[in-house]
Amino acid sequence: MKTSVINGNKQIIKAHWLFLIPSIAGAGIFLMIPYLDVFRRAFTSTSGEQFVGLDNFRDVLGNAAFRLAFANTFKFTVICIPLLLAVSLAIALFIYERPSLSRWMKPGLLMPMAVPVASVVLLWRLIFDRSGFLNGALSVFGFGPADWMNTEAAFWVLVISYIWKNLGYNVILWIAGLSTIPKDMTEAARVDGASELKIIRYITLPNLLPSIFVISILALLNSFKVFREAYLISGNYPHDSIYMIQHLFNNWFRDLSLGKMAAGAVIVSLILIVLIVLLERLWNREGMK
Amino acid sequence: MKRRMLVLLLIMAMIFTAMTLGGCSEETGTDEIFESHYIESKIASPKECNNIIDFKLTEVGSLMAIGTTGDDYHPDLCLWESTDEGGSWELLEVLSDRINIKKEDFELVEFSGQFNPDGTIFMYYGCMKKREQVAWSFEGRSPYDERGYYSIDKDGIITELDTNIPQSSDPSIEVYSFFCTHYTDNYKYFEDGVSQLFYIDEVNNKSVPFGKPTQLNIYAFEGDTAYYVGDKDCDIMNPNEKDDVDKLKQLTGAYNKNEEDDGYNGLDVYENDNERQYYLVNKNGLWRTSDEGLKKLVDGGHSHIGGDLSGRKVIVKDENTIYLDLNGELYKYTYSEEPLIVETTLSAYIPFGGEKAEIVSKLINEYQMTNPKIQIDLEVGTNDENALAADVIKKFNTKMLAGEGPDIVFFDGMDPKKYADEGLLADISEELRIDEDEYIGGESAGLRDNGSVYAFPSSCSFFAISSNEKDVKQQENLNSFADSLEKNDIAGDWFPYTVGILYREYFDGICMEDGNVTEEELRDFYESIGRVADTFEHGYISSGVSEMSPTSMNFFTDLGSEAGGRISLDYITNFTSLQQMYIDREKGIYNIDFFGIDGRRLYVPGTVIGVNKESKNLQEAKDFISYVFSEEGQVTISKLGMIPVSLDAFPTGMATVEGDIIVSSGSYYETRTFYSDEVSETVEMMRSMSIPVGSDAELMELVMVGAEKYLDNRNDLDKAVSDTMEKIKIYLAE
Repeated sequence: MKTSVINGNKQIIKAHWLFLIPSIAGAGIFLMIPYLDVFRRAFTSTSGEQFVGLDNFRDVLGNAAFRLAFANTFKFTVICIPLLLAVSLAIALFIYERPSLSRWMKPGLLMPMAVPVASVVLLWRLIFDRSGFLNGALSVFGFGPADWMNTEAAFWVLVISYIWKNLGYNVILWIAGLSTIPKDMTEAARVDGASELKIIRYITLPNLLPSIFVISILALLNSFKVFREAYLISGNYPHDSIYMIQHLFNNWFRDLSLGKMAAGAVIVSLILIVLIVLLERLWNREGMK
Repeated sequence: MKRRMLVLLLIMAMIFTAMTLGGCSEETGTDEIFESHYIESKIASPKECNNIIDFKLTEVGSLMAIGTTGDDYHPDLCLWESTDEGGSWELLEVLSDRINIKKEDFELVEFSGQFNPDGTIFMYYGCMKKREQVAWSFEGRSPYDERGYYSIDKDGIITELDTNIPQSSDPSIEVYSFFCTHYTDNYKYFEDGVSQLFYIDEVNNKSVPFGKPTQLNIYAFEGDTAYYVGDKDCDIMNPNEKDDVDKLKQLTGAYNKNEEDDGYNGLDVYENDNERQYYLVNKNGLWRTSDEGLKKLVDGGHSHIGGDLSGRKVIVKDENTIYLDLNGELYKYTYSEEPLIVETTLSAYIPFGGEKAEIVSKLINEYQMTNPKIQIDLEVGTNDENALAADVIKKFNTKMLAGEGPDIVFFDGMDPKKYADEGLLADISEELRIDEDEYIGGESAGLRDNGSVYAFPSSCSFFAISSNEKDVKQQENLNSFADSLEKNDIAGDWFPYTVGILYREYFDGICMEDGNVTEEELRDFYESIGRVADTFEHGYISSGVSEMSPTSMNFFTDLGSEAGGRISLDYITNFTSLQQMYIDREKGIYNIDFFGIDGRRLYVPGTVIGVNKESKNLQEAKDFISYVFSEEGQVTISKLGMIPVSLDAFPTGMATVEGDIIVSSGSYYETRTFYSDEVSETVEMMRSMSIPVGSDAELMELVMVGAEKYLDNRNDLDKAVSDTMEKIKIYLAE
């Protein structure tokens, strides 16, 4: 009897592996093998034939364009992610308790995700061009026309665009997280006389911790996709405040600097991995409490 | 249940694997190798003939030719016959003697003639008196002061033709001029001044438009039925027989499918015992349509058919013997049981389409003509003028890095250094004979490293200044040019390309000589082009100048009589343009010099070639390089309208510019052969060219976008300079 149970378990495990094979194969072929190749290329010349040691890493770290791109990307991430998390959580909390409102707000908030990047870029141009809507509106108040995408304002245009685009998705994720919190807890707190702020501070936020981790990671990864908009509107060389790491990689590929590109990619991926591991540990630690 | 699940999973895994591998697999492009059974041979023309105008095959199998002899200004029109396929030609008659004109009364006399299918000979002449002013607008006038049209029948009786043609049946079309195509008693087809072909409906006395008004010519008659082939769609048209048209369209549907055509096509109808066949020729080859369908007989890319021609005529003797008149050169195509098979196929790549790609394609054609067992497939990165250079280059990089790069690369608009630095290019120093031959630019030419050469320009262009002696001497940079222009206030047209010329000459050539750009240099450049632009009262310039047209462009302004005439900055890309400058100088109009600084002159390396180190046909690819840099290849480059880089090839290359009279829009101009002292002078000046003007398309785009904003008053000078400088700094730092 015992033997047959063990055999049954072994077969279940085997079946699990069979189900996992397609996804593991897909991830392996399309992600892990290319990544390993990138890792290898970080230590070779472009042709991949000559071992160059740490030369590529030295080149990258000493490269002024890399430092600028990295600083911009870091600044963008540091500003955008907390802002996005805060704003989306606020909206989620606001509409979660109002089902009639959320019925029409959810599709509205998700709409930016459905808009193709090319259309977004067109919209940007209409708004932020020297002779666009924004300058037209400002001229009513006596302001002269500004070339928004070629000034420091370009950075904030990019921040607003990122938040506009990802807000709805994050609100939905927060709502999903909120729905896992037992209503008994909040109702009991209310009966005990807790204010709404205290309920958020002591009940909602601690229970949202698992969601915070996932939403932060997704927000972080999505922040890298904002390059598409920046590239389509300003090309390879936008204003230096929105010159992102992807611009640099894109230009390095054009210039056939694969060694540098691979080294840059390894550096960025290591930073991301460290960041994600730290977040996970933080989450686990908070969860233990 | 478990087993079923297992099977399902296995099937899914297999599908996934197949899709993955399928997606990764190379598209091998199994192009059908063309086997030609027709062998090309050239038929000699009459020795004294300058220019064959038409030829025909007589019923007894001899060849007859109409052409001109004598000096270019007052030629004779002659008729010859050869019974031994060009071995010897007998002059039958000087046809122009039949017409009673006083040639000496005119500055220029032109004759032309053609064989009509009914056995008559059509002949016309046009005479021009000396012109004081060049008329650039045609406006429906004939360029000739006197002209006449004649028909000589089989018995040799000459008749002047009635040129009072009736108006068109379509009231919206005004028939105001008359260029005869076939006009005899039997065939009354003519062309008006805007290339609209008509035939005369004698019953209603009306001119009837024949087909579409573009590139029309009658190429074949069958009885009284005329066919033409040669419009953009390559349709064969017979206006009288609709069914026939439909059938032929069906037959020839594949003839031009997806194939670009230059419109200079030929057609002949041949009937054997069983069927009627149509033989067509276009730049892609010689084709036969019959009841069996369409068949390619000779490939344009491996014969003289695909050359740079403005006329192709086909005459079929029988199914085994076909004659072609290609721009006045006669070729015979004879059937052979042994097919000619391509043994090696090479791939070549050029990033951007346009005139340069066309010239490269013709150069490849020329090579294939003498190497029929080699085929070179030229891939053009993009023909889209709006495509981003960076996108095209990235696509090419992907191919190179995936090991699927072409055998031969033409680096126009791409920097070969990056590819050489990464070890992707083969050493071609032996093919160039770099130690033996002399090239423009000397040590500065090509991409060299420790005695190896990885890429080398096959052509070049340069800038020339023409003006009075004083102004020519003053031209040292863009500022001095702007100074000269500011001496007058006569407005002219501002060409979008002009800023491109100035960029190349000044920015790429002078600022970038040390590989760096300073803010002062950029400011100086913007200021100077601003001054030049103001002189021309420009309204708009375009930033789309990353690729310059290889044709000669210039801009000039009249400095007024006090200043001594015109000043012109020309971008010289071929010997004909250069010669026009020498002719102007000979006439005492202008002095000329090549543009430079501190005694050194600038040149623009063109059509830079390299060979992929990983090429599977490395030796064959290098053989092509040897051809390009051989005297033969370099002279071919001259003929194709570019300036070669091998100084050894200059005398022969310059000799390809022949004396000719070009009638154009109401006037004419001459070309002549270069004088020997002009050849020596040119070679000497070429030797002093030591500043290569780079072709960094990305940098050019950055600078030009800034220039555009400044010149269109969207940014002031400070803002334009600072914005552009920021981008340049990032670009150079990368």
